[in-house]
Amino acid sequence: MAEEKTAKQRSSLPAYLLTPLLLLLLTGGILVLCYSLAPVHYVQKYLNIAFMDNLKTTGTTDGLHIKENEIETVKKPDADTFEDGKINYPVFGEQYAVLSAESIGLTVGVYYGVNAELLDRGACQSSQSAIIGDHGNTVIDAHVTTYFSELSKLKPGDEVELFTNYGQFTYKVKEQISFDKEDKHWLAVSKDDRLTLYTCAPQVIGSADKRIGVWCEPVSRKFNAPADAK
Amino acid sequence: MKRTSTYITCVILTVFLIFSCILAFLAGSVRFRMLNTEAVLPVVTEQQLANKVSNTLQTEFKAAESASGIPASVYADAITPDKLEPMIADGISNGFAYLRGDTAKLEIRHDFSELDDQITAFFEDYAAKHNVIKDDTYHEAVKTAKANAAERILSACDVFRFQSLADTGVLKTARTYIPWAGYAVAAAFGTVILFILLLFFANHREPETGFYWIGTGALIASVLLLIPALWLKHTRWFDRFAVKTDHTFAAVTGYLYGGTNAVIRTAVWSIIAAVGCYLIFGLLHGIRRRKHTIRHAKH
Repeated sequence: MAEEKTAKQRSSLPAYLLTPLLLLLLTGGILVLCYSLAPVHYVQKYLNIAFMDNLKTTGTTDGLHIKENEIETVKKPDADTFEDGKINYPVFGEQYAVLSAESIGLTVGVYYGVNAELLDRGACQSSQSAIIGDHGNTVIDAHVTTYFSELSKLKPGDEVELFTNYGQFTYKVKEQISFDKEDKHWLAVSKDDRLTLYTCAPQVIGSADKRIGVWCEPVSRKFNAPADAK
Repeated sequence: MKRTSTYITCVILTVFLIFSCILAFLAGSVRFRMLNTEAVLPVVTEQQLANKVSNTLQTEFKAAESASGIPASVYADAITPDKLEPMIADGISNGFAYLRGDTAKLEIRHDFSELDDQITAFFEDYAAKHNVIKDDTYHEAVKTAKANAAERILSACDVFRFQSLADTGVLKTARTYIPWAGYAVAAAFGTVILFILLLFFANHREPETGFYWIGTGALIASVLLLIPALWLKHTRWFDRFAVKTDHTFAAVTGYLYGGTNAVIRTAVWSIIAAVGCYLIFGLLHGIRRRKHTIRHAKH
């Protein structure tokens, strides 16, 4: 009888050893299943909303690849250029033009798109406005404390030039403008071809609610490539 | 046959014990670690949050110079790490108190009188140099500059971005569930005790076997928590979070690694307790076997 009992106790030893392992596999499997069914994506969505830009790898530079281009600013003879031609469409963050206004000693790179980082680097063209050389209203702005500090000195009749790698475009200042920052009239799409340059109105200090600038009408369009290449 | 049915009953009870232990672990971690201000505050010094917030603010004020016209040096004295640290700590304390429902408002105690004086002095100086008339526009500009600076600093000191979480409704949802964490802890621990008693009851003929099952439950629950926690820690998994703001990243990841370490510590203690249960089982089982052997030898 005693031997039988000892044999029974010996036979339960593997059960004692294997049971924890089997329970581990069983409960581990249940947990994995529960996790796969848990609505964690709701939490993730809320966190993404809550942290906004701060949860992205890069904030203002997220997806922004700033590209500087060598742009020739020497005027080309008329014989080498065409009135219509191919426009090289820039990507957001690309410096694709140089803005020049000799009357106020201004020469500044123009970036496609507007954000704080690009505004620190030069003038910025609103991506909702017409690409330089295309038809419509091309809108460019810069900080009044830096590149456009002398913009208010541009007078009607002054010449403004835009140099790109696909052509050179000359404008003449038509009128000085002043508008409220909420007023989008001067920045909206226009049927005529024009260039609008604006900046903040200088005030005591700090950001202003008023915007000042000029709008210019085109004088000449000189493309490097003929129209059929467009 | 009876042994088999007892075994199956114990397996089922142990499975429930394991999940009760995991729930008790998690509820306890949330209630006593993740929502405990005293447990969270060390992240401020461990992660040098004051230095990081100071650097961020310096960069922001420098970047805003061209738009605002106010030199970053005007704010320099107000954003030193020693001045920011109490505000960061207060922001964390208040944020977690709000989360627990202990306070009704998200706010950070602050004193910007020195900063206000510096901004006023800068404007006065600017006005004197540029012959600016101190009219309503001037006073409005001074007021706006002070408000913007205060908002920027307070926003940076909110290292866990409680305000953003509140604005998007996350905190409101969390606040409705978090007060229940205390009850959840009590319920989970109550369930653990219930299954322990049931295991002893199921093994009333050999009570020491109850220690075996309790040890098994504690061991498996600990392992199921320990493995993912160790994996999170050793792969530095939270470092993958794409939080751009340096101090928010440090605060969030520091907080989560702190929680992970707490889970690891608790799991290790639980494993020690499980080993203790096995030792008690082995000891009592050995005594019982010796008694059996002696009794049968006498017969």
